[in-house]
Amino acid sequence: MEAVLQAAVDGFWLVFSWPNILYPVAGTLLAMLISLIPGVSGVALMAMAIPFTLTWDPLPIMLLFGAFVGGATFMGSVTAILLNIPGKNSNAATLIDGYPMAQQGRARTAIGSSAMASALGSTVGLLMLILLIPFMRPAMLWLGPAELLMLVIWGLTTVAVLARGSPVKGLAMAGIGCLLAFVGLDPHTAEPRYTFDTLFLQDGLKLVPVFIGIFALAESLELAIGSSVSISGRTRIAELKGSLFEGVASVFRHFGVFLRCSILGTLIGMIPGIGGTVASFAAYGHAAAHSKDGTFGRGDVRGVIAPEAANDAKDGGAFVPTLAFGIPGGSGTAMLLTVLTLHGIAPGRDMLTTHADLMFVLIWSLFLSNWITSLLGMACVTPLARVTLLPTQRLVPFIVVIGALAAYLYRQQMLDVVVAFIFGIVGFLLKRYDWPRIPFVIALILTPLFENYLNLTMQLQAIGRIDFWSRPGVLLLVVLTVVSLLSPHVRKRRGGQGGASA
Amino acid sequence: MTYGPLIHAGQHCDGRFDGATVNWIVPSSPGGGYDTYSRLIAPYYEKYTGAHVIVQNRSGAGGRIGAAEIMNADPDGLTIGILNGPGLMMAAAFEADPVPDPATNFTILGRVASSRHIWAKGAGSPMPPLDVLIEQGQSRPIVFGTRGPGTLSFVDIVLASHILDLDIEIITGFKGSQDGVLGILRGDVDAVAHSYSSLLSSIDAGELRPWLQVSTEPVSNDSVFRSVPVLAGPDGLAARAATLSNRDVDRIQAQATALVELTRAGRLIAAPRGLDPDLAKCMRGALHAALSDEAFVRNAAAANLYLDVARGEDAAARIQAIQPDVAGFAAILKAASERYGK
Repeated sequence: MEAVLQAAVDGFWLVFSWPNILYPVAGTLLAMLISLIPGVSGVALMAMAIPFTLTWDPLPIMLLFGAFVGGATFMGSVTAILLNIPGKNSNAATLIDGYPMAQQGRARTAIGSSAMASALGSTVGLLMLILLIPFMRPAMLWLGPAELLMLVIWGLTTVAVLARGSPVKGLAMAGIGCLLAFVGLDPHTAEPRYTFDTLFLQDGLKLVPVFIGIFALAESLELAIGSSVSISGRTRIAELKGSLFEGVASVFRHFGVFLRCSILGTLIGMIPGIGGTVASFAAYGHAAAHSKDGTFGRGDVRGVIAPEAANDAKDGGAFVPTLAFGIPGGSGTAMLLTVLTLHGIAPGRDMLTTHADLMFVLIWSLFLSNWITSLLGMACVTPLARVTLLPTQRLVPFIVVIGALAAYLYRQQMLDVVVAFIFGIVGFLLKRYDWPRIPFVIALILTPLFENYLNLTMQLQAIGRIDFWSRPGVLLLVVLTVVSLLSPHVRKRRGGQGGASA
Repeated sequence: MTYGPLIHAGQHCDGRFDGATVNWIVPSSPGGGYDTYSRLIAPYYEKYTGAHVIVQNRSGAGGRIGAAEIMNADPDGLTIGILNGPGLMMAAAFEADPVPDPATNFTILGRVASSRHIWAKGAGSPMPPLDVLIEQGQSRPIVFGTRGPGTLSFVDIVLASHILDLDIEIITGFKGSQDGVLGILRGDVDAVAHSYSSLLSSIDAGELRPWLQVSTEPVSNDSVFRSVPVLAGPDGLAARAATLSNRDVDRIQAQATALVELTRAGRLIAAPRGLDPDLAKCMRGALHAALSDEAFVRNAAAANLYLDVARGEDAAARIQAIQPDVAGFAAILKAASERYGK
C-alpha cells in the first residue's frame, strides 16, 4: 500500500510539473473541441490519435490519453441541459431535470451544479480508487453473475420509484422498454429476435439514436408546435434566473446527495461492461427515491447533481478492474488498455508494480482534465445560457440537424437517423399524453444486462457451480431491493410524496 | 481520417491510384484489434498505391454490416477492408441466412495476422494436464466459459473437444476473454479458449496456465508452453485421443488440421469480388509491400501486434482449401448451439 501511495504522489508530480502539464491541458482542449462534433467521443479521438503517437514515450501518451477520456465528458451534460441532447448516453439522466431547469430560465444554475458535481465527483472517484486498491481483487471476485443479477434487479426497482405519480403508466412503459430491448440476436443462442431479417437490427436498438429521438427530437417537435419564444420562454439575459454561484453552492447544499451518488457511481464503475449510463441513472433513481418534495423531473437541481457526480466518479471505479485484472471497466478504459498494450505495458496486476507511476499519471491526468473542463464550463456559463434565449424558429432546425448528425455519426448508418426520427415522434406523443419516458429508458438500458446475468446465473446454478440463495452478496442485495421498493410507501404513509414525470 | 502518403510512390499500380481516395472499412468499433491493425497499415498502403486511405468503422451484426459493405461495393479498388476470416466462414457455413463468405464473396488481397488459439485453466486448478486427463479419463465434465455461439472461442471449444472426445459443459454469456478469466478465478468455470495474445497477460501474471495449443506447433517459445500439448500434427493430442478411443485416427487428424487452419484464416484484407485481374494484382502487390515494409513491421512489433503475413493468392487458396471441412463442422456446431443455447 505504501508503494502505491508513493506512486500516487510521484504520478501527481509528473502530471503537475512543467512542461508535462501541457499535454493534459492540450488533450483536454482538443477533446472538448472534438466533443462539440455530435457523435464523436473521446474513444474515437483516441483511436484516431493512435497512429500518430506510436513512436512516443509512454509518459506523454498517458498524459494525453487520460485527458482525452476526461475532456470529452463534461460537454455532453451542457448539451443535455441546454438542448435536451445527451452528448453521451451517460448524460441522458442529466436532462431529466437539467432541461426543465433551462426551460425555467435556470440554465446557469444547472450548468454550475453540473460542473461542480462533475469535478468533485471525479475527485471522490479517484480517492475511492486509491482507498480501494488493497481490496479490489477480493471485491471484484465477490461480484459474480448472481450478485450482478440482483444489482440489476435493484436498479430496475427505480422504475417503480420514478413512476410513483402514475405507476400503471410507468410499469407499462418499462414493459415496452423491456420488449424493445429484446430486439437483436439472443445473446445466449445467437438466434435473431424481431430483426425482420435485417442486419441492422441484429445488434438491437442502440441507445444513442433512441435517446436523441425520444428526448432531443421530441422536444424540438414540442418547441416547433408550441408558442414559446425560446427554450426558456425569455429573450433577454437579464430575465434569466439563477446563477453560476447558485449552481456551485447547490452541490454543497445537497452534499449528502452528491457524496452518496459519487460513491454509488464509483462502485458501479467497478463493474465491467456496465458503465456510466447505468451509474448516472442509478444515482438519479437513488436521489429521486430519497426525495420528499416531489420536484424531481420538474427542474430539481439534485436531479443534475446526482447523475453528474456518479458519471464522473465512475471513471475512478472503472480503473479498479483495470488495475486489478487488466479488465476494462468501460469503453474509455478499454481504449486506454489498447493504447497501453501498444506501448508494451501489459494490462493486469503488473501495472501496479512495474508501471504504478505511469498508471497514476493516467489517473491524475484524467482528474486534471475533469477539473479543466468543469472550470471552463463555469467560465462560459453565461454565453452558454444564451442558447436558451435563442428564438425557437432558429433553434428547432439546429436541434434537428444536430440530432440527425449525431445519430448518423454514431455508427455512420442512415438507419440510425430513421430510428432517431421514429423515436422523436414516439417521444413527442408520450410527452403530450403524459406517459413517462424514464421508466422506458431505464428498462431499455437494464434489460440486456438483466437477461445476460439471468442466463449466466441459471446456467451456473444448473450445473451446481453456485447456490444462489446461499450467497451473502445476493441476500444483501435482496434486502436492499425490498427496502428500496417499500421505502416510498413507508414515506408516503408518513406524508411525503415524490416522483419524476419526464 | 486520411493519412498523407509517406511517399507518393504508387510503384505497384503505375500511378492508377494517384489522387484517388480508398475507403478502408473496419467492421468493428474504434479501438479494437481490427481497427488498430487497419490504422497501422493504412499509411503504408498509401505509400505503395499512391492513394489516400480513409479508415471508416462500420460496426454491427458481428462484423457483417461492414463485411457486406465491402462485398457490395463496386469492384474498382476504392473500397477495401479488413475481415474476420474464421468468424465469417463459420457463420456462412452454419447459418441459414446469407452471410458474406471470405471464400467466395471477396477478392482476398492478403492476410495480416492469424489467430493462435489456446485453452487455459486456472493456475490453481486441480485438473491435470490435458494429455494426462485424456489418458486417465474424466471424472466430470470440463466447464468452459465463453461469450456464446457464433464466436471463434465457442467454435474452438466445441470442435476441439469433439476431436478430443471430451465431456464438456459450456457456460455462455461471458463478455470476452477477460470476463472469462474472472469466471475462472471465481471458480464459475474451469477453462476458457481464446487467442494467445488475449490470455497472455493473465498467464504472465500467474493467474492462468495454458492447457492446449490449438495449433500444429507451439504458439510460443515461453517455458510455460513447453509441456502444453498441441492439437494437430503427427505428435498432436488429436491423434493420441483418437487412438485411445479407437476412432479413425486419419479422420480425426484431418479434422484437427482443418480446425487449426480455420483459426489461422485470421485477419484478412479484402476487396469486392470481380476486380479486374490487373487491378487485383497491383493491389495485392501493394498490400504485401506495405505489410513487409520495415517501418510497418517495426511499428507492429513496438505495438505488440502479432503479424502472420500471407500474400493474397496464398491466403485465398488456404481458405478455399478448408471450405469443405468448414462445411463439415457445421453439423457439429449446430448440435452444440442447440444444446448450449437452451
